[in-house]
Amino acid sequence: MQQSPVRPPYEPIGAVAAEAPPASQRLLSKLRTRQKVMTAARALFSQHGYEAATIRDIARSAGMSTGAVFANFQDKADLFEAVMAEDFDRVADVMRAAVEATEGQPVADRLSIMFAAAYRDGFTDVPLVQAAVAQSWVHARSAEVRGRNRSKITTGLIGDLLRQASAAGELRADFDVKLISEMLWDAFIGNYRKGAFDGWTAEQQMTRLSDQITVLLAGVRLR
Amino acid sequence: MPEGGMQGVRKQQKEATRQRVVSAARELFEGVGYEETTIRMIAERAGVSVGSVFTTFESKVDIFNHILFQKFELLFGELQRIAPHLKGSCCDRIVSLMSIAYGVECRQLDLMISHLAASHGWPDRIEAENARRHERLVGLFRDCLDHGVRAGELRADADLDLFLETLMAVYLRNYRKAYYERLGAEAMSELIEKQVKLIFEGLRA
Repeated sequence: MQQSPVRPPYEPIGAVAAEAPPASQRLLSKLRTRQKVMTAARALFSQHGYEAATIRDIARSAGMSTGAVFANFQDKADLFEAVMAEDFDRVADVMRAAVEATEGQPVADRLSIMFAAAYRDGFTDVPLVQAAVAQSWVHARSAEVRGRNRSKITTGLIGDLLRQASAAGELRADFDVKLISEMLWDAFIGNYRKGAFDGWTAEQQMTRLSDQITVLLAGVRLR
Repeated sequence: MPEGGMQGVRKQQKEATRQRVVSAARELFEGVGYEETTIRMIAERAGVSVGSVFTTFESKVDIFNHILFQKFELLFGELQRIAPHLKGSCCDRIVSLMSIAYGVECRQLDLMISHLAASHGWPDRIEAENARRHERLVGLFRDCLDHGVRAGELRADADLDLFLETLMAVYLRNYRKAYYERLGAEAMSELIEKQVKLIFEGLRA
């Protein structure tokens, strides 16, 4: 919470109070500032990578002071995490929507549809994903814990599909759901390298992932 | 005066500088991290000028690439030495090779983590060299699979390249667990065994 500014004693308090925006409006404008910083940060992180993007550049691009950036975010790591958390929420949303829209279909199809949506409408900015993956190898342990809690949501959705397929008799009943869910997620993220270095499109990433899904499920299918 | 006269001396000096730069850089990449390390820091630690760092290497990423090359040679040499003595099914062989790799890399885990982090943002020319090293490593696992196909353990029509690519993605991501969960080489070995067994099910003849 930000403290209200100290009023000099000689100012007529009543008049100032009348001009001061109500709390909700102040909150709203704070949120707007925060959003503006995040939009500028997202663009610069994507263009230059995490290390090369500076708070100063981000502030300039958002049209505000570095002080205003620091009023909203502790440091660059905090800002980057906020940007990525937004993307992560979107990925979880499109994956969840795919789970609901594909009920009753074969599990490999459901996974393909789910990941295709995540490539197309979830993590859409390839350089930003690369920056996030790079950062995830070296960020603070506390950030790692928060990151894992986020990916528990997405691997949980994958796990839901696998368990449903198990219940429907498509997959074995006794396999390690968490292990396969994580391996599928690893393959999904791993394909962004191909996007970054080999210029693969979302469709090409998806075609490869469909094949990988076949490989990863082969061992747990009921024949 | 060493062989080669003045030129020989200069060459020796250059090589000594190079080695000092490489070992200083390596300590910094491991201790501080690749991104946080600057050429100035490397020069200071090596006791040479910033200018002489740049006469031996083009840029920071080239020093890093050289260190990764050394790291790879060490790992690859170890795996190559052991590969001919492996016994058991091809699944066992791959698990053994990967376990040895985890053992080697976990002894220099900070460098491995710097490697994996940097690999998402380095220039294409470094990526190309890294990809060639990666292919040589994959080649060792590929040999195990080919052996399995010949021995009738694996389906002859299985897409081995796809299988290997998927396996390598899993193999590399496991280093997260080594780093953040402080899994030792032993626990990493158990983990990869579970994962390899699982995906091998689909390859079985």
